[in-house]
Amino acid sequence: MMKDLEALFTPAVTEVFTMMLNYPVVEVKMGANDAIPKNGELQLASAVGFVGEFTGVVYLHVGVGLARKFTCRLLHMTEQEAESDEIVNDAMGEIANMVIGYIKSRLCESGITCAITIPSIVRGSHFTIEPVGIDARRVFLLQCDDGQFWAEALAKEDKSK
Amino acid sequence: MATKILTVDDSKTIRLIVIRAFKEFDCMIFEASNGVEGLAAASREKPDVIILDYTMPMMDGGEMLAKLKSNPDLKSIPVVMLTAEAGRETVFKLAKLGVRDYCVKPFREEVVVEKVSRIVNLRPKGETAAKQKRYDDPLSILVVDDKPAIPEQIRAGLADTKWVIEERGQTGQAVDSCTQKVPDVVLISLTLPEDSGYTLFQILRAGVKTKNVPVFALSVKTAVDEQARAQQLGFTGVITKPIDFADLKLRITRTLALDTSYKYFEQKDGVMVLRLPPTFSQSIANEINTYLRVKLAEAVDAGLDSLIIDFSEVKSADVTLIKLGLSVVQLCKELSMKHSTIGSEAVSQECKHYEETKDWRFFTSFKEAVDSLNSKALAA
Repeated sequence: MMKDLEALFTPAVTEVFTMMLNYPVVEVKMGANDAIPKNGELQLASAVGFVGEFTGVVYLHVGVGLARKFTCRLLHMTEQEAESDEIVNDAMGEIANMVIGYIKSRLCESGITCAITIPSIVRGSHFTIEPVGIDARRVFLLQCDDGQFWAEALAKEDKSK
Repeated sequence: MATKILTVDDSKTIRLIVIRAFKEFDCMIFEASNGVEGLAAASREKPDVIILDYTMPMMDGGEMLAKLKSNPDLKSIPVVMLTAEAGRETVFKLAKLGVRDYCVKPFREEVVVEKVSRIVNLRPKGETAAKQKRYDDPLSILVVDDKPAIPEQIRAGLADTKWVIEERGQTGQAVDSCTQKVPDVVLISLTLPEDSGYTLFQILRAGVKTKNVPVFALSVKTAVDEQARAQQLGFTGVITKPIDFADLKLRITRTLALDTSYKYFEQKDGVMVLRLPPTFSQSIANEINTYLRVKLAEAVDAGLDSLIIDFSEVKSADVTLIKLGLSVVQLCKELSMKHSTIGSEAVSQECKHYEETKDWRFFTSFKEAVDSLNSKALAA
């Protein structure tokens, strides 16, 4: 099922960024076990989980500066207007929600039933996500005009299937 | 009255996007961040439509919808889902509960607007004011015809108005033009190639911003089949070529309910003046009668107690004019207004033919008429 997610992830990001932000994003190929680079910049990780036949979580890791740019594009705001952390958190949570919602809909269409969770946000400069009981992990590097950001998909497959 | 829209979404981002999507329409947007708040807002505000997310904390969209539909006071409020949750089972469940439409995130704002506009009548902001436009306002008239001579003719025929004639030779250009600026009236030639005039009409009727814009068909007098087709499709009316410009102006005036009272009524030097035009007809009498009571009442309300009926420009008079004059005099009595008349030869001669008007006294100038009113006031 991780393969399904892998196939759906980039189209999902492209769709959301094109439709909602009018901002082209492309995937940059990288190794399966590459780590997310830490450059010390304050990071924002927005997470939405899957629960059901496919259980897992997807994190979007974006530098705070780039997250603010995404927020401005999404809400047609200036950087001054999007100054509050709250609004940036909310916008990034909603972007993650739409990306995962897109994937979830396609999974459901192919018979994999699952629900998605409410988005959650983590902010920090030096944090690592160390999941427990995860069967598969995949990292996606994404490139847009204003910089790069990362997505990390963690999945636990339903062994009863 | 503004359309009330309730957006229920735990994401402030989405609520802001919804507010932005409807900013060009006469809407009041209410916000709630979960199903509990959504139900409370629905009870309090009685919105015309609810835009509802599915995945929310406290109470999700499915539960809120179920509670809404089981409440007799709220169950008739239409609900449009706006959610990333698009699983078949969820969609079926929500459809069974009575959801009216479904938008899946990511979404285009115009799609949400379009879906809502199928349920409620969205009016562009300022449309109410547009209905009160005056005849002498610079109305924008879009003429869509591939023959440049026709817009030229229309421009010349309407030269005595301040109306601005825009011309487009192709339907695509016309759609673009309407998207940028919604015209007050559209005139479409029915002889555009490949029936594109009819297609353009349907596009305008389907557009949220243009669905209420009056659209007239331009057709040659003898082309009765295309005129019948236009009528069936719902064009506001058919203007036949060669164009009768007096008729065109009248139809635009009536369709847009333009205020023409300024042509006849004026407050001058502390008195109300009713000025009759040189050429008088039943339609002008009707137009004056539309405003008569309101304008005289406004004058009384503003502290004016006198009316001068100015017939000086009238070139020919008939019984219609006499009837109007009598109804004005009667209304003055009802409102306790003094009145006096400025005449023309044609009017004073016609008045002599009727018992009720044979003794009417006409002054020859505004000053004489005002002096007469003042002397009446002194005598009183």
